[in-house]
Amino acid sequence: MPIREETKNGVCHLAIEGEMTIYSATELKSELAPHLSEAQIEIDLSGVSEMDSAGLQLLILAKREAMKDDRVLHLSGHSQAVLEVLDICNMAAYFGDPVIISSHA
Amino acid sequence: MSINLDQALQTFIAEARELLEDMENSLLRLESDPEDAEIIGAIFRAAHTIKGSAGLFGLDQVVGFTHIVENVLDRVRDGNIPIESNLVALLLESCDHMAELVNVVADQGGQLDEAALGREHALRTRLQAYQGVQASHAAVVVEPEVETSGKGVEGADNWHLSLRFDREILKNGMDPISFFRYLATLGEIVSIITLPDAMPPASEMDPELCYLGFEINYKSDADKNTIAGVFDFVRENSSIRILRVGRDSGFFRQ
Repeated sequence: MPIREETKNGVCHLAIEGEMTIYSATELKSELAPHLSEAQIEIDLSGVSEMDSAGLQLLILAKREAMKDDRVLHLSGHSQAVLEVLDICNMAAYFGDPVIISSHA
Repeated sequence: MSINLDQALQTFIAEARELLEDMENSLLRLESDPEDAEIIGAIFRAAHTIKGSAGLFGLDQVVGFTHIVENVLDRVRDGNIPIESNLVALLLESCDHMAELVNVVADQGGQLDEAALGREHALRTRLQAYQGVQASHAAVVVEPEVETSGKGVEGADNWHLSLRFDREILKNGMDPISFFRYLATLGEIVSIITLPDAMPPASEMDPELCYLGFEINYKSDADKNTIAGVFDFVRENSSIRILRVGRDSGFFRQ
């Protein structure tokens, strides 16, 4: 189970552990899917060790689903691997969450 | 998950060996038909493809040596160096060395031994002599690729890359992001727009397919062939458009 889930004060906290890559994408999607309709979601990415385009796509999918219904989805604790991908693909603004450091800012 | 980590690398190794064999056969044919532009073009493209694909796998030693071979072949293709038997012999030896690099560095994940490094050094010196031949004529060689449009571009050219990869690219063991990292070694990615629009609704979205498209503003003094070569390995089923900003009249479609 690469995703831990806990609901506090109406916010669904999800923490993704390990790699977010093509190798884990199917499992991650099936674990994420049941939570995508929650009113408020926060995804903790501090435990993400590696990310590729497949991992980025899943985050975009989650965000898009939330935005579609005016629900809230935040990313937090971006690990270095996540920051690097958001930076290369210029996607930090899409998610709109505060990002602590950029790999070449 | 049925992806084999090494699958793409194995494909590269098999493809490189095939291309080297073709190169060798073409070189032998050149001896009897030194003016044949088609053969010369095929030899150049083989070296170019090997270099581009090797770059994707970070096989710097393969890229470094092949780059010099490609450079000489480029000058042969442009008619700056005549084909003669010494050059054919040198290129055949270079092919052998590239095959050794593919075997040792790509296949076995090892390093060249001292004898092989010595051979490479000698080959590089001989190849560089042919680059020198061209340099002495540099004043009369027209290099259209480095002309600028007079829009204040200094040195490096501006490019627009429009990339829609094969949906299966990730399953084939390649990641678009690794292409961007490689592009960054050939120039500067000025800006990039990631387009998620093609992604279907969550219930239909297959997490192993690549739905993302990319529009890139890129600055590099590499020529169009070099930039296009980065994508040689994924051309099939992908839409790769490379446009020199302010110079091309339309998109260049691969």
